[in-house]
Amino acid sequence: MTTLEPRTELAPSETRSEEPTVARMLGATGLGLLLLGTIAIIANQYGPRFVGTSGGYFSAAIGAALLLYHAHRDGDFEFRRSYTFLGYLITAAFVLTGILALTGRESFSGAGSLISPLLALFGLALLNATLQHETDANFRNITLLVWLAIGGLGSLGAVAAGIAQPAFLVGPGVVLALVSLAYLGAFLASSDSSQGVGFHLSVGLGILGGFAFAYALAKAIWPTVLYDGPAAIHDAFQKRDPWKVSARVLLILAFLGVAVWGWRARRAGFIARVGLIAFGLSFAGVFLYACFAKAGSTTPANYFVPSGLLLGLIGLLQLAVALACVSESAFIALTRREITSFFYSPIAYILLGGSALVASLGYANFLTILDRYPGGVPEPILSFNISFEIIAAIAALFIVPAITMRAFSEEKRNATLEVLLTAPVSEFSIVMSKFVACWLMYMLTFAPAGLYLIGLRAESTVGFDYRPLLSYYLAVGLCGIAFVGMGLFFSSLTNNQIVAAVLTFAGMLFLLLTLMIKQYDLGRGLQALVARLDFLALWQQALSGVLPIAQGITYASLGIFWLFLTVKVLEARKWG
Amino acid sequence: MTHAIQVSDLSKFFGTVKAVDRISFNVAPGELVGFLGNNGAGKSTTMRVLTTFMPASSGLASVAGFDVMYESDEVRRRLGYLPESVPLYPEMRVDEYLIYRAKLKGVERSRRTSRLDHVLDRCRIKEVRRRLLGTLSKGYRQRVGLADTLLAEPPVLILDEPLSGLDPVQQEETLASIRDLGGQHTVLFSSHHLPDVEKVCDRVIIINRGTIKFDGRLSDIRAQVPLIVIETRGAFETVDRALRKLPNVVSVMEVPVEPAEPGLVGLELKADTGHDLREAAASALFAAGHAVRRIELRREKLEDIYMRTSVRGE
Repeated sequence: MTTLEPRTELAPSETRSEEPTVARMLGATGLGLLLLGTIAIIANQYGPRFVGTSGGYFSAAIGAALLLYHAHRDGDFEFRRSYTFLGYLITAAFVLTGILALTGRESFSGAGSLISPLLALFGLALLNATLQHETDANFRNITLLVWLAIGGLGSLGAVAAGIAQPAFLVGPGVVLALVSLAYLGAFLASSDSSQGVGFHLSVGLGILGGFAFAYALAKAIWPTVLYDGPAAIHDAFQKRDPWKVSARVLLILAFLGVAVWGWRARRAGFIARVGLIAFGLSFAGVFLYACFAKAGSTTPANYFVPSGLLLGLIGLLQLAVALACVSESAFIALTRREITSFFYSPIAYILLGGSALVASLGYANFLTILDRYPGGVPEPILSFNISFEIIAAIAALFIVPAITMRAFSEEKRNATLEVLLTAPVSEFSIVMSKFVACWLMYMLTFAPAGLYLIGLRAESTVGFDYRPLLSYYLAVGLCGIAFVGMGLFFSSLTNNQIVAAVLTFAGMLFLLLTLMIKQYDLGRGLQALVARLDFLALWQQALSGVLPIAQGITYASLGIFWLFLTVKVLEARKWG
Repeated sequence: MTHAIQVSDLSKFFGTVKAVDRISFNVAPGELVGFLGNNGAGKSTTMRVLTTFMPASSGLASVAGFDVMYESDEVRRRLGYLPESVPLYPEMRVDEYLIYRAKLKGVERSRRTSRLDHVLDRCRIKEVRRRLLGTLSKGYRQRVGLADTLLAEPPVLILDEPLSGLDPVQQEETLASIRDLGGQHTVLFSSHHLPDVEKVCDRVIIINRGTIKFDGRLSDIRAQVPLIVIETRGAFETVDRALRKLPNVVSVMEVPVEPAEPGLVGLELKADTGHDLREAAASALFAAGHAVRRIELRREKLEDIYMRTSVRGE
């Protein structure tokens, strides 16, 4: 019986849910809207028309979204090839406008410089949609090569330019780095990164990212530490302050710990281990040296905010993408699957599109407020932007349940949890991987509101104080630990996604309503606790540049508590 | 020698329902064991306890020498498990899913590609490696699940109904795969389809209402108790007398003849193990003047054992 020939399967038994008729109609409509919008935008350059510039952009955006939907649904040969060529065309246009913008041509500076990244994202999404239907290896390889070239060169260029000219990063540099990382990530996701070219490329990206991160950190910290020298651990009377000394010792031990970790991580690659050891030893060395001697004669210039921070973040992102590709760790494999599953389902696109739409309303409102102050708005102007406050808080009520409801419920309903839990992975790493994926998705939905500000910066000639954004996103992230943790806990209780979503929504609603509840007389302890939970107040304060640490820690520890409970719920099946 | 699977006095209650009631059995390394029983007999429950997914209410179970309760991580490292419904993530592609599972199971990078090719080949799913799992038919899903269990070359395989939902050709193919696995791997697999089980494995465990009704080798059954069925003309007493004179006869019993016919008598003759008395009985009857209509050797088949234990509950 072993001689039986394997038969190729003729048809999937799960029939196609529908023919892409509707998708085709939408695609045709989209093409029309895109053309109309593009013509309107160009025509408006030469005088006012019936459809204004903003109308043109709006129409083009809707058209592009519809085209993408069609390209995603319809794998038909003619459509697939047309979209592939359109994708190449748009990619070429993005590269051209990008080069023009980076070399500082007049018509592509200011608001015009935003066209290039928009084209980049549209081209990437279009090619990505056609790639999944592509059966011809040549077309696959051409697309992948284009992505690799753009992503690789762009990433290298962004880091190199960011090191040579720190000011470049603020603005065009960060956009270049993010766009190239998106291209490189798309390449790595579509090709096998566990061996061959993909693997070596991922390692290269990891080295680049690690270097950028270490460089940014070193350049931000070393000059100051060395300039201060032993004075930093002395008190006002030139005596060694025991508290400062012990803090310094702890710091040195922490960096030495990083080096030891690198030494002992036998499963990690050689390069990663050498990198960790070098990083830990050099930082420990500098801090140790600064205890006894000082170096440098002039006060070091401020580097960390914003250039160092941006370079460090870009490096971390590159490192994260590289790790996701090459790591052997089960935790990273789990996290990667969770994140990609968001983007395989429509949920990620609906959430990101929705939050972009909501943020655009807030941004429009923000612009009218800015117009009302002819002499300029008093800083921090960001606290006038309601898309960061009440709008974001209300959006979070819906976003958090939508992100977390499926985490465990779907796995329970499909019984994939049984397969997962009988693999040699711990409950802790399963919960943590789902948490990290959901939390990243949550943070991503807050990105559009911030991205509109790049437009504001490009449109206006005057800068504004963007630093409150840092504390704001930190506050949002800390609250997110609790939100996502709560959602995961409810999802782990039931195999019904709706139940999980409703419970999470109720929890979120309670947290939002603490802004009213805290005004009642509940007794001193309880009232203080409820006031701590008022996250809208936390966000508003963070927006004005003040980060209430106590409240942030309350939220973070609340999140850890929820995650602990979730792990216990999974383990409880073994308590018998 | 340690047992690959060791179960002693294992019980599992769901509330007040007794799913598994103090069962004990051992499986030696490399053994291929069929696990049979009706729906709800406790097969899947036993398997889930062995895979560490569920705890037992009482009793001990160990896989590859590790306790399923206290050394669950070690057990999971040495175990390949194919659940009954083969749950898969519909949005992943076949090779993507297998690489993901290989990472979870700690298959090293240097071996991963060769292992992947090996299992794709062995389970005959190479031609669908780029397909989305959600679009696969039941047969392919089963085979992807089987490929997943084999990825890390675990010493112990636990397969819950690997044949359900397959067409006859696929069943043959999967059975051939399972037969190949015996020897290198310890395999415990459950099934409803008895002739198939009979084809691939020698040892069979039958479980009914949570207790083990039969645990033995099919080759032993074949060797033991030759039962001879005879239909002959004459009265039972005279026929009985004639037969009892033969050596090695243990017992002679009258059984009804179907369809009944006047003058015809049916008998069952049991002899000592290893003696085939067909010719001797025929000549003895002929010598005594009885015309013989039918004389044949009957062995107990797996189906008879199954019917006896699972349906009639003996």
